[in-house]
Order: sequence, then structure tokens, then C-alpha cells
Amino acid sequence: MYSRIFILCYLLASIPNFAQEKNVLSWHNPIREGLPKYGMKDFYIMVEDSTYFLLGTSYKDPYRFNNKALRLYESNNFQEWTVSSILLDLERLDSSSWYKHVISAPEIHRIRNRYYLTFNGRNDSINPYGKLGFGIAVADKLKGPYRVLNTSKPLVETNHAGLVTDPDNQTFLYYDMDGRIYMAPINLETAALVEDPKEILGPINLKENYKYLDAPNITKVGETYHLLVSQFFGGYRVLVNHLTANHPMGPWVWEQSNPIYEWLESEADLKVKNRYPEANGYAPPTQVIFSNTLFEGISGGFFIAYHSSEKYSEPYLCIEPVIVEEHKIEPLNPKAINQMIIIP
Amino acid sequence: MKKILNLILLGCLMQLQAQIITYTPTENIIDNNPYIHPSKHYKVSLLQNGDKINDFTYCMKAQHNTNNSQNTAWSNFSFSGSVTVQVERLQDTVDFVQVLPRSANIQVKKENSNLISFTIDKPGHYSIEFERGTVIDYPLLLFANPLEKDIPDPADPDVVYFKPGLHEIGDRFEIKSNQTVYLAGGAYVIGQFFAENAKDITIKGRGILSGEVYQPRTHQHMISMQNAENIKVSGITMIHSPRYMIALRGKNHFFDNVKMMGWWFSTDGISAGEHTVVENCFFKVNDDAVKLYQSNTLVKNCVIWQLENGAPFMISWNGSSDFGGIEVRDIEIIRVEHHWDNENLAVVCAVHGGEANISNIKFENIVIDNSKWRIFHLVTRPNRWGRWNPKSGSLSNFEFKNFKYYGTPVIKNLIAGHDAQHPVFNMQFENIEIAGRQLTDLKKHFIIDPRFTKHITISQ
Repeated sequence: MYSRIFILCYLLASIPNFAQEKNVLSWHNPIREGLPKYGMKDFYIMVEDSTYFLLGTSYKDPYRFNNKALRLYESNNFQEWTVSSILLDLERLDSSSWYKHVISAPEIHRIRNRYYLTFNGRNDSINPYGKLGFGIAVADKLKGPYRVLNTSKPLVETNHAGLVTDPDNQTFLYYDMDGRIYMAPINLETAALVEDPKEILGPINLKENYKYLDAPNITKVGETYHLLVSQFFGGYRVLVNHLTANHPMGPWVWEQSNPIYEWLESEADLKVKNRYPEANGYAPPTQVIFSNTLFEGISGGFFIAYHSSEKYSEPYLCIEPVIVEEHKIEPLNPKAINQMIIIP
Repeated sequence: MKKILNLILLGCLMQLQAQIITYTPTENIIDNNPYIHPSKHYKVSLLQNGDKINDFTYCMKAQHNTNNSQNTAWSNFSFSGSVTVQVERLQDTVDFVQVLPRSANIQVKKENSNLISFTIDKPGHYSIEFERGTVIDYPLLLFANPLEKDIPDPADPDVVYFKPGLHEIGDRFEIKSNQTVYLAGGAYVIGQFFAENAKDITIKGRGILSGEVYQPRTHQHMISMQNAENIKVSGITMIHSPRYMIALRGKNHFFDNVKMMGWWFSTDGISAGEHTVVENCFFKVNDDAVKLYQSNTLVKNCVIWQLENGAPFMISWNGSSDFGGIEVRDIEIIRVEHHWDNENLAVVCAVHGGEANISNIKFENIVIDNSKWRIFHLVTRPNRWGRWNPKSGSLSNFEFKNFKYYGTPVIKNLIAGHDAQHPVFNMQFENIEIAGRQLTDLKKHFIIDPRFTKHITISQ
């Protein structure tokens, strides 16, 4: 029912006179204002005290070498962001810290009135080009200060990890590694896995739908768990797919309406936005990943945050309103630059 | 007296044997052609036995926004004997000049402020450079071919003969078994060749095959064959490919003196089947030059100019069946434009994400010039092209002998196994010279994962 109202609001917002008279939130994708100039990806957005908070994987500014910190950003309107707090200052870490150099795909999960910051980290001196590992930190307030619970080593090797809680309040760690998705119950007090991780999505259960899986994101809406996952196909075709389950451990159902998005090379932005120390300084990755996060807005309604193509240009934040039904997620204005909603 | 007569006779014979053949450009090669036009930077002349011939200098524009050069110019001729090449620099004076590859040991004479000359007496692919560094704006190449032998008869029913001039053949020109496709010098063929379940095919000549009308990855490879046996490609020049220059499936494939130049990511050079020989070829491509994906492949006497993307030799992204028995020798890599820390950027590269156990690959006598990037990137790691098998996939028994690297590497070589089931082992390095110094300790220039690699050795 709610989604139908949302559609109606959205359609009404597209009528100019109506939009002028109502409380309309509009923004333009990709969004760069206040966010790292050299690009950002793996966005995670949450709401706290009627404010949007964002974090993600930042691209380093090649001219600012002593600026390694994980920042939390905030906004009330999607379009403009400001730094809200420093969550982790990597400069202050000991050189042997296992997450000294890389913090990737961070997220914050509010569980039982505490805030858990999760990330995938690496020390490039000790483990250059190696696998990332899962880190978890805790704080009493969203903005910190955060205390890393596993300072001695990663909990497990992960590429892109998150937390999700089941109906019995058991929290699970989920992550992708080597193109498959794994899950394990986690004890947040001790920062230890309760059981060994189990493969929940891979070639065995996805069968013909299987292709290397990237960037899982699980969001619970009502009684349903929604999982978004990205798949890259050679020649540059990326699909963002949707699966649902009644429990984090599954079984996960591949939705008939997949994919939610299909991205082709011809849609990629070819224009590099920044100056680099040498010509053609932006490094286009050989394998393209789209990372999608489903989140609920301040005034209800749902959105997907994703990063624009990283193939030939720096990635930046994109947000689109979506309809969420029990077995379907549908972007309302997919891939459009100009986005708007009516705030009910 | 007899000696003098013999010398005179020898001189006469040499003059009789000496010959230069140049080719008339087609009418489409004009100034405002966005793909190919006369060079505005260089004029090439050939001198032999007192005769001077102006050799047309082609120029193809760079196509992609990450390409470092503005364009690439080249001259193409066939000859015997000895020829003196004169190059006039039309828009600048000559402050620096070198002719690569180094092994040719070309001595260049500066004739005046914008004219140089040098003499060659054997066929080859040369780069005449007036700028220094790993990246130059206006490359000039010289394709000095041997004289053609066995030129096919246009009247032969098994011959598809493209005479000099412009030909547009479409993107699926099918070649049948036992056919010879001949691109005469001066032929400019726009289109793509295709064959399936075919054998005993030859594509040869001195003409040009262009894929200029196809956007990247929108069409197939320039020469694409499935289940093809006994295939020979020689002598032609291939430009502007939207994907690979040559991709053959089957066995017994032979490539000789093919010149390949392209600009796009996915413009790879040659990928062929088992029992393949690649020799005397030239590559200036923006993805992997040679795919070493099949057993019993021999690559020798080639010249490679690697653009910003891809590896001169790619061993595997997704090898799924065991293979090996590969030899690469006497290779001149005259320039490597790599400067991104991407997984596919090394002279010898494997990002092996398939289940194949790949072994017994030998590299010998490899010269790397004008490079600042890594030579070796040999890892097992799942990737999005491969079908990762958690229990299988390895690299082993590789031999790298007599490497000379001219330049100062700013990034380390990498050798790493992904996990215990995907090791990298038995990698022997012998006589590796980097920036004039023998490599005695791998640690200085290598990152070697200690957990899932073993028996990585270096010797003098």
C-alpha cells in the first residue's frame, strides 16, 4: 500500500505546478558536493535523527598524501554533504596495524542501541595486493568514537562485508569472497564468529544464474530480507540482481524481475574529472563492479544508492527512489540525472 | 685480376638482386579522414643504387581518450639488398633520434636540421623516434618487408584477390577451406574475415585490413575462425580493430610478418590454437599482444610496442584446461606505456582465475625498452572472466632467461598464489638485467607472497 502512495507522490512530483506547491526533494546524479573530489564508491547510507549519514570507499587525492581517514558524511537533502566526523584515523595507527592502508566498503549498523562500524581492511606493507579482511568497531554514538574490536587481525578474509540481524536478534556477518557469498553468526560482544562461515550463494544453488558475485547488500523491509548483488560479464555488461529470503541464512530466491539494473560500457562516463600528477592518471579498472545499497528515507520510501561507472572516470554517488515490494524492487526513474520525490 | 673480376661480378649480382617495391595509397587516405591520412609529421624516402623513391607515410589517429600518443605514422615497403632510409621531420627539427629495436644496431646519420638517414640490409619492423621517454606524441614506424614470394594468380578459383584500391567487404567475409586471400600492396580492405570448420587457409600480401568503421567491442575480431586447422597469415598490416586482431580456434596456426596496430581496450593481438607459431610480427596494441593460452605455442623474433593497457604476453585470465609447452624467445619490446597499478599491466602476466594447471613456459632473450613498469605479474586469483574452482588452478615450472630491461622500474614485480589450492611454484629466473644491473636478489624488485609460492629462484 505504502509503495502505491509513493508512486503517486512521485508521479505528482513530475507535474511542474504540483511540484512547485509541495515539499519536493530534488537532486542531480551523480552527486559530488562535499564528497571526496577524486571519487568514492561502495556507498552506505543510513538515517539517524532525521539526517542522512553516508560512508564509503574513498579514492585518494594524489596531491594530499597525509590525509588517510575514514570519514562519515551527513546531509539533509542528498545533494550536499558535509563531513560529520572522523571514524578512523589511519595516520595514527601503528605501521603494523592490519588495516593501516586500506579501508573498503565501510558500513555502520545500529544494533541494540550500539553502533557497529564494519570495514574491509589491509596493510599494504605486510600484505600487498592481498585479500582484505573484516574489521569491526563499536561506539555508543553514531559519530563515535569507535573502538576497533579486532585490532590484532581480521576476523575473516572478506571483500565486501556487512551485518544483518535475524528475527531472533542473532546478528550475522555476510560477505563476498572469490565470487561467492558467505554468512556466519557473529557475537558482537566478543567480535567472534559463532560458527564457521557457510556459502549461501554460489554456483551450486544459483545454477545458471551464477556468475561471479560482487558487493552484496542485505536490507530487511517488513519481514523480508532483500539482497542486492552485482555481476560483471566480459565485454563490460554489469547486472544488478535482487534476491529475497525470510531469513539471512536463506534460502534465497532469485527474483523473476531481475536484473534491477543493466549497465553497458556505452553508458560509462568517459570524462575524467580531476587533474593527476601525470597524463591519463586515472586508472580504469579491468573489472567493473557496481555496488548498490537499499535504504529507507527520512520520511519513508526507499532508495538505492550506487556509484556511477568507474570504468573510464571517477565514480560518484547516485541515488534513485525505488519501489520495494515483497518480491520486487523497481527504480522509479532509473539512470536519470534529475531525480525528485515529494516528501509526504 | 681474377679477384677483381669476381668482386665486380658480385657487385653486379647484388645490384641485380637489390630491389624496392612501394605501394600506392588508396584514394580514401586523405587529410580529413578521421582514421587514416597522410602523415603531416614525416616524409620517408628510400635510396638504393642511386635511385630515390618517396615512400608514402600513413598516419592513423589515436581513438581512445587514454591513448598517450596523438597518432602513429608508418611506411611500408618490400625490398632486397640494402636500402638507405631518409626521414624528414616536417614540423620540427631533429634534436634527438634513435631507431629501435636495439638489436638491429642501426646507426643514424643526421643529414641536416630536420633530415636523418640510416641503412638497413634486412627486413624488420623499426621505430624511428625523435622524442625521448616511455610516451611519445608522434611515433613513426618502418615496416621493411622481404620481397614477396609465390604471389597468387588472380585467376585461380581458390584465390580471393584484393587488388590495389579500396574494398569494403562487410563484417563477416567468409573464407572457405583451401582458399588463399591475397591483399595486394596498395589494397585497403575495410571489413572482417571469418571462417568456420575450415582448413588450409592462407591470408597474405602487403595490403591493409582495417576495422575503422567498427566501434570497440561492437563487432567480432578482424580475423575470426572457429575449428580452423592449418591457417597461415602473413605480410599484411591490420589496423583499427574493434576487438582482437586475430582470434583463431583450432590448431596448427602460423603467423609471419603481420603488422598490427590498434587503440582500444580489447584490441588484443593474436590468440590462436595449439601448435601455433608467431614469428616476425609487429604489435602496437592496447590490450594483450599475444595470448599464450594454448599448448605448443612458439613466439619468436617479434617487436612489440605495448600501449597503456594489456600485457605483451598474457598467460591466463581464465584457463580451464591444463596447458603448457610454450616458448617465447628473441623478443624486442620497444616500449611499454604502462602506468596504472592494474592487475593486467606487466610484460609477462597471469591473473589466473581458472582451474587449469599451467606449466612449462619458457621465455628467453627478451629486451624491454622504454619502460618504467613491472615485468612480471604472475598470480592465481579469481576474476570475473574465470570460472573459479576452489580446488584447482596453478602456475608452475616457468623459466625466464636473459632479460634486459632498459629503464627504471617504479613498481615491483608480483608473484603470488591465492591460497594453498592455487599455488605458484618453480619459477626460475636467470640472467635478469634491470637498468644495467644483474639481479641477484629478488627482494629488490619483487613482491613474492610467502604463503602460497615456493621455489622462486634467481641465478646469474
